[in-house]
Amino acid sequence: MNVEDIVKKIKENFEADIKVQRKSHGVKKIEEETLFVRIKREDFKKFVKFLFEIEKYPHFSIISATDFGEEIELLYHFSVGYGSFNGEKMISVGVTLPKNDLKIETITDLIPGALVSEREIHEMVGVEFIGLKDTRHMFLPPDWPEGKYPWRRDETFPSEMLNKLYETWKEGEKK
Amino acid sequence: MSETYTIPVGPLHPALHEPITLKLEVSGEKIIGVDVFCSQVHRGIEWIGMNRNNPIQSIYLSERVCGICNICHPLCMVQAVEKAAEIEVPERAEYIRTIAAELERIHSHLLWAGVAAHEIGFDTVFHYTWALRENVMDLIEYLTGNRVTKAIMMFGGVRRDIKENGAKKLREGMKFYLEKFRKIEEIFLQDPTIKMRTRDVGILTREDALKLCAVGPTTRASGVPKDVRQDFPYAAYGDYEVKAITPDIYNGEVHGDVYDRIVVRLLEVKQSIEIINWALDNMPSGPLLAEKNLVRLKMKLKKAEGEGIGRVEAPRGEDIHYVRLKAGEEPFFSWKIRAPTYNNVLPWIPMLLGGQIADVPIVAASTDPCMSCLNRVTVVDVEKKKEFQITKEYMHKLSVKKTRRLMRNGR
Repeated sequence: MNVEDIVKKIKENFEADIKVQRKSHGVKKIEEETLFVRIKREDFKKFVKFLFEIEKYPHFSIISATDFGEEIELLYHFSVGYGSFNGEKMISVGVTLPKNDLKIETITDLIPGALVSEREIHEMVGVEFIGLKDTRHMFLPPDWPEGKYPWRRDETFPSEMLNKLYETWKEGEKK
Repeated sequence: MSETYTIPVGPLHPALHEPITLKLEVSGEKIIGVDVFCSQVHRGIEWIGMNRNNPIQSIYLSERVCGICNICHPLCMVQAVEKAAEIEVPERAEYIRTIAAELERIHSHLLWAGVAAHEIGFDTVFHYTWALRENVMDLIEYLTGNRVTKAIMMFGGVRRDIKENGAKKLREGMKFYLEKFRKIEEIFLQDPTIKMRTRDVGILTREDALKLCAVGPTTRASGVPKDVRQDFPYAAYGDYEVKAITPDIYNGEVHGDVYDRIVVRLLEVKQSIEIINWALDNMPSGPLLAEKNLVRLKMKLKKAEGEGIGRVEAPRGEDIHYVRLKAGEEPFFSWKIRAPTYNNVLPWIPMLLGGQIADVPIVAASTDPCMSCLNRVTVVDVEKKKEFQITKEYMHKLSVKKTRRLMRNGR
């Protein structure tokens, strides 16, 4: 499916802000295409299901998070159309969450491979994934203080731990 | 025996001498449950890029995400920034990037093949493969000035040219590897013991590979033709038209086991040799950098506003960087690194389930895990609750014993 068709389909089904980024490479100037789609939180799960209409197993890469002060944007990077030369299109789906209500539905029921990424965003940014069963720490230690999020740009950032890593743990001593 | 035990393996990794914890639930020798824990070498690289460094400093920081993939991470990151700031890359630079990335693939796959041989107890093969790998390391040093951190990437191009002498040396090196390839193939793919230890061990089905979003040789060995160089071409790969390698090219069938992962990686070494030879023959002339003046480049990036995604097929699979730039701010506003091992950790669970403890090292090693890629945020922690610790040496011993047993019985 080419990008124009995907954009058309998204516009038919969703209220979305779509941006197409193109970049050409090499002597033959072969173009790669990336879609950035910003949608409403309520539509998010429906959008992921919509990706399954394009491909049986859409490839999920990662969730990236950006702290805008009052709100946090989660950007889910998907791609569809693997297996043929220059056939793959990146589709990045952005959802903005206000900081006082950091909740979004999990996609692990549809794409089990998203588990690590959701656990990472949960511990690093503090987003609650509704329906995510395994919310243990993945990259932070099990005794990490609650309510501290290393990837935020606000008061929840653990600045007191910065540059003092050698003090956070010592041999034979419990913090 | 109906009773089951939980055995923590790690934090030091049994296969690649890197820190990760596996919790295995075993009944006798059979593995019936697997859980994975990371978090021992988080270094906060993204945080530094978002708060302290200017973008040019971040190139060299991103090289240090991983000691092995130190072309693909900076390449991925500069591509993301080039898209965000709309910088055009000269054609010659794209060809040099391709050659550098393929040299990295050769050295990484040979390194992996040596480690895999070591894990099943063939230390002579391990030393032989690593001795072969020295040639490509010398080539890398000759072309970039360094064996490990090559410092060759820059926004809008590369920092060093490949001149006539370099091209000559590269051609000689590729000839050397083509000659040796037959021998490597014979050692790894036709040896009956290696086949016994790896055939139908650590199977990842096509379905699981797709559902768990596995990447790189791990997913290709399960018959999924996912390769960023083919699907989403960057640098000069679009001109070459790479084809993803799946094991059925070699022997007409896909098992999705450790043996297939060896097949895919070895064939990719051959493919890399071909790509390098092709790139040398077709290299266009022209400038290397879009903007030579670093101060001007830095100012341009400071003024730029936008976002971009860089995607690269690293030796271990798809590597992806997301970068967002905000006008007036020097560090990245947002930077996310996703190294291939990140997606290849969950597939360990179906691979290990039902297997034996003696197979853990080779199965874990078969995905070519890279823990420093996986963990990037600094945290100091040592897990204290380990009463039944299986050390890496003990596992290695078990693995070697199994190979010896198979060799005896096989004869």
